[in-house]
Amino acid sequence: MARKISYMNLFVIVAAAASALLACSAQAQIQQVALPYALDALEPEIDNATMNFHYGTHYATYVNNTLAALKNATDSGVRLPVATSNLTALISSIKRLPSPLNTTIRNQGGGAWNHALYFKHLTPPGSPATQSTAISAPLRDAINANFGSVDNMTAALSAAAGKVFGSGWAWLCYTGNSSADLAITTTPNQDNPLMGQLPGAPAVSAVGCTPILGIDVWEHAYYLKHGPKRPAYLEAFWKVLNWQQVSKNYDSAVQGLELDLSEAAPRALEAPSKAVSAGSSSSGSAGFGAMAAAAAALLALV
Amino acid sequence: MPFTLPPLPYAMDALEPHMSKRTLEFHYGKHHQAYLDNMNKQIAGSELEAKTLEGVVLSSWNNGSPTPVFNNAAQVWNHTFFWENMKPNGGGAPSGKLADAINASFGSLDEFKAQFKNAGATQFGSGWAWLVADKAGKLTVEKTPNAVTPLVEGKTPILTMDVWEHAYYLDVQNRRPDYMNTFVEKLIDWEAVAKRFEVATA
Repeated sequence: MARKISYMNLFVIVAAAASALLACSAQAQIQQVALPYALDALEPEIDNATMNFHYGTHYATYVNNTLAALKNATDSGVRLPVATSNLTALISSIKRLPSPLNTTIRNQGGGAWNHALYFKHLTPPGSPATQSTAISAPLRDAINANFGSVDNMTAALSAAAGKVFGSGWAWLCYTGNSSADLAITTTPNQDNPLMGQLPGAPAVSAVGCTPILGIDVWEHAYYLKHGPKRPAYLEAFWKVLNWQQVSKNYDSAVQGLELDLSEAAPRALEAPSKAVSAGSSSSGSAGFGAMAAAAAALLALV
Repeated sequence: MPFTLPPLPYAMDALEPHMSKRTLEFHYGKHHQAYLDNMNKQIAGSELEAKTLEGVVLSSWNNGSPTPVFNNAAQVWNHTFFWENMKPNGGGAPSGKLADAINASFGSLDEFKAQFKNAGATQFGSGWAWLVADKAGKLTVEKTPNAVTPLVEGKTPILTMDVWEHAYYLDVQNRRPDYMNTFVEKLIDWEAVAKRFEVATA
């Protein structure tokens, strides 16, 4: 009788541990960054309708398509050089991915990464984070050193954004070059400087640099409110830019850390079904919570 | 002499409800007009002014290393071509030699439509879907990014569909497939396409 009970206990422990481990790895996957503001909170600078489509449909679709492509690849036994949960690593490794996954990760994964950066560094107009006083001292020093002033930099970035023909992005990025550590560059479609110089793509200046600030100039970013008038959108963009977040992005880049593209406000430990991080290499707090619960169960039964 | 825009072949509201007046006001009145104005500024005083529009497009393509003029010139050409292959109460089916050519090249009209829409769907970012004819009447579907046009490959397009977001965003937002269905079923001027096919195969 005693033996039967202990085998049952062992089975329960193993099952609990296994499901916790599965939950831990299953929810360590790329997902949309949770918005730290409501969809209408950027009004009147970025309108509610645009946010609904841009965040709720375009960005969501990039994420879903990325996940589907990764699932398809791993189900087919394709060996990937980086973890499927690490979006930054994936887009930095495009040249090492097999075809046609490389194209899907470039377009859809690039879309997922770019929009995570974009939405995370927006904030309601008028909030303190939109003031230039919210720029950290190190970032301000770098901007002044590279561009002369914040105004010079924003003017140059807006000009670059205005010149993008077709769909694409304008970036302020960290080069890692100590004599000129910030650069402005643009990329077409959902390309990103982290992807490196891709075959057949137009030459990217400051290729390989880490974006810390991105302006989406796909027409879907502004057409509902502004029609063809991209300059009007660019003016509005600066009124909702979260300089605190841009400063954090700079800080991460300088330290050689991946940008934190997870949700802005950390959550308390939740059940495994509520996944947490997007694009970071950790499995997220919910995963650790589940594993802690399994460990506790193990201790209780022994 | 600077180039001018041909007038739209129909009133701005004539393609309603399939393509809104507001879309045409922006698309023709702002985008197309701006490409023209910018091109004229760029070529003012140069030998390009004496060429045909097609000549400006081919010259500025510069064998694959396009000059700054190309994006504007090609977009002027592409959009004029686009307006001319739509009409109010369009859609339906081609007939005569064009219909035969479509069946010969694709198997059926439905198969052509599927391939054409697939080209539009898979042109990532901005661009165009095209039906191209060779002298022998063989038809192929192509897609191009941004301002690029089959003209630069020495090919003869007979139908085009703009898939830049500005072509459909006011009407159907992200739903490019809905726009493409509407274009194919309700907007194509098959007679215009047939005339182009005749010229291409003459």
